[in-house]
Amino acid sequence: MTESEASRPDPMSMSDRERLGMLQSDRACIKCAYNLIGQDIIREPHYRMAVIRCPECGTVTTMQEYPLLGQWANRWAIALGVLWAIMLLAFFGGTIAASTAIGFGMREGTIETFATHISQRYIDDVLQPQRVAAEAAAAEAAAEAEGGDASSGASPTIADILTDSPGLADVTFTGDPAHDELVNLVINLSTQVDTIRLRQRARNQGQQTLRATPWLDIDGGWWRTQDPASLVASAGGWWRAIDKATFLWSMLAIAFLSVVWGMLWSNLLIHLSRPWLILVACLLLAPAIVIHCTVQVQEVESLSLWTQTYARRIAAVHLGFTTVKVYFASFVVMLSIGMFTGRPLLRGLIRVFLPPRLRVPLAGLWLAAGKPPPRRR
Amino acid sequence: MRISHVCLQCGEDLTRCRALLDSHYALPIVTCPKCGYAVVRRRHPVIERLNSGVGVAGAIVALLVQAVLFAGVVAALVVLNTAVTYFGSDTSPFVDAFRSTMRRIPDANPREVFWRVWGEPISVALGWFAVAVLGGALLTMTMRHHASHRRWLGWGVALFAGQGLLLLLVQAIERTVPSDLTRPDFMTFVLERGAVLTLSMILVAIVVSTIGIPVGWGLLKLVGLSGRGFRRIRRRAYRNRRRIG
Repeated sequence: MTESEASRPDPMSMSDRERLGMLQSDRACIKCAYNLIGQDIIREPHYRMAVIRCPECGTVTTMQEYPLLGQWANRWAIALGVLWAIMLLAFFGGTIAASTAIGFGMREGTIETFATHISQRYIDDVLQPQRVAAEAAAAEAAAEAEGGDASSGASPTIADILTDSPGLADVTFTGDPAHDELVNLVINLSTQVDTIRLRQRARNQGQQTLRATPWLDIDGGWWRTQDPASLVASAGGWWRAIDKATFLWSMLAIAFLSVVWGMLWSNLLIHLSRPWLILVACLLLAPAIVIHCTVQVQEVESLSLWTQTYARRIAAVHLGFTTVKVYFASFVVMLSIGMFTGRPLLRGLIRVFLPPRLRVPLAGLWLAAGKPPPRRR
Repeated sequence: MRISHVCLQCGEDLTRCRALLDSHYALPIVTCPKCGYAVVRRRHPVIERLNSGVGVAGAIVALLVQAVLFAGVVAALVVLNTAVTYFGSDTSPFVDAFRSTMRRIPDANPREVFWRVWGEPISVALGWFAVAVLGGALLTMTMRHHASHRRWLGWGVALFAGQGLLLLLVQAIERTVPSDLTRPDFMTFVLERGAVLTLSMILVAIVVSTIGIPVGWGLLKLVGLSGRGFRRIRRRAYRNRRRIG
């Protein structure tokens, strides 16, 4: 014990001295902020001041008022509080918006395989029989036209017409400006018409090759006769029907993101206990889930009304929503993990990166967890 | 303008009176020169809160700076380590390129050709060395609150984890990015035999980073020398701690 400590009056003996009264209103201890209400006010023997000894930490608190600086201290405190609340609300909105957007990304990004599967089924059921019937009809018509003009199989080009027409085939540049301009016009026209015709031919050839793509137009009448569940089952179930590589990489990124989010939230809401944090996680995801459910209901209704739509859209409604459900379930789990591990992790990072002297101002993180605050040394 | 402080006994203005830390209660006491009554002077709670807020902000900034510096050095070292291992695993293309260039252009300046061919691998190797030394120096300077064996163990764990993460990332890039946007030979190297080589090279990087220990101590000394004046001011402030107000 040092000399100065030895010379300090004993608090017990001090309380036996002159008792002035009892504190009947709130007053925080200057060291530990313990409420001193109900404590004895005593006249301390050394300076004869009216003091209270804090029963928690033993600090002497004098009965003097703080001089007020004016109204601006309170105003600044209110402004800072409002700013903090706005920042938290903005972060809350940002989390909701981001989780909703990621949900839509998952819904649309993992359905290519299933959309192609639907397209293929539509081609097999509708387009291929139609094509076979059309080809049979064309063959029949060609057989009927057999014996007629054999060379009328392909439509002639303008160049062919020019060559075949005696009057036009003789058109040549004569040096007469008016005549040459007319010849130029005929040649340009023939070139343009031939180009258009060649494009049409190429397009017809393209239509002839039936390729299953996610963007294929599906007839609404055909789709309404299908059972979506059996279609998913025929694709091998949800797990085989989705684009697994995209799904897994996305889930990895989402897991990382949601854990980081959870850590941030748990440290921003340092005053909340863990059960409350779980409630916050549910609150954060509830609006996004409501938005997705609303969109799903609208999409299902519109699918029953539309006459034609893309295979992708059907896949998004009947497979994408299952993916979204998996995403939300994993999001809430990872967010909760982040919320549970956020505070210990932050304390660990502080221990790793900061020297003891700098840890002291962040003692709130330890006190909130009911742990002894870090020591200066 | 100072905040007023009035004697509770006689009303004397004590604003200009210096407060002294008393030996009994460790409180800043002002004794009224007129009536001898002792009163306590304390800082305004708003100022106290502001000070603690500044302290918290400073600690958060320090934490962020430390974490970003550490993560940045680890990331840079891991990337350069992969590149160094890639270049070092097969140097024959550079030797061949140098020889064939000299054969095709006999009048070419050999030094210029050498730097054109070997410039990239040499600069990468120098960067790797510099970052490894910087890592060691940072570790010595900023992690002095940990025992040295813990410090270096943590450094090794961070580097190995970073290298593993980079290898995983390369696999992800290989799956998602078209091959014409990447260096196919580099990707093949990393995916096929790079894991063992790069992880072995991390051990070399850890050994090289021990060169940073004297560098770190030197830098600390430099900072200490430049801060001598500052410390003198702090000493004076410490001596004056007993006189508050």
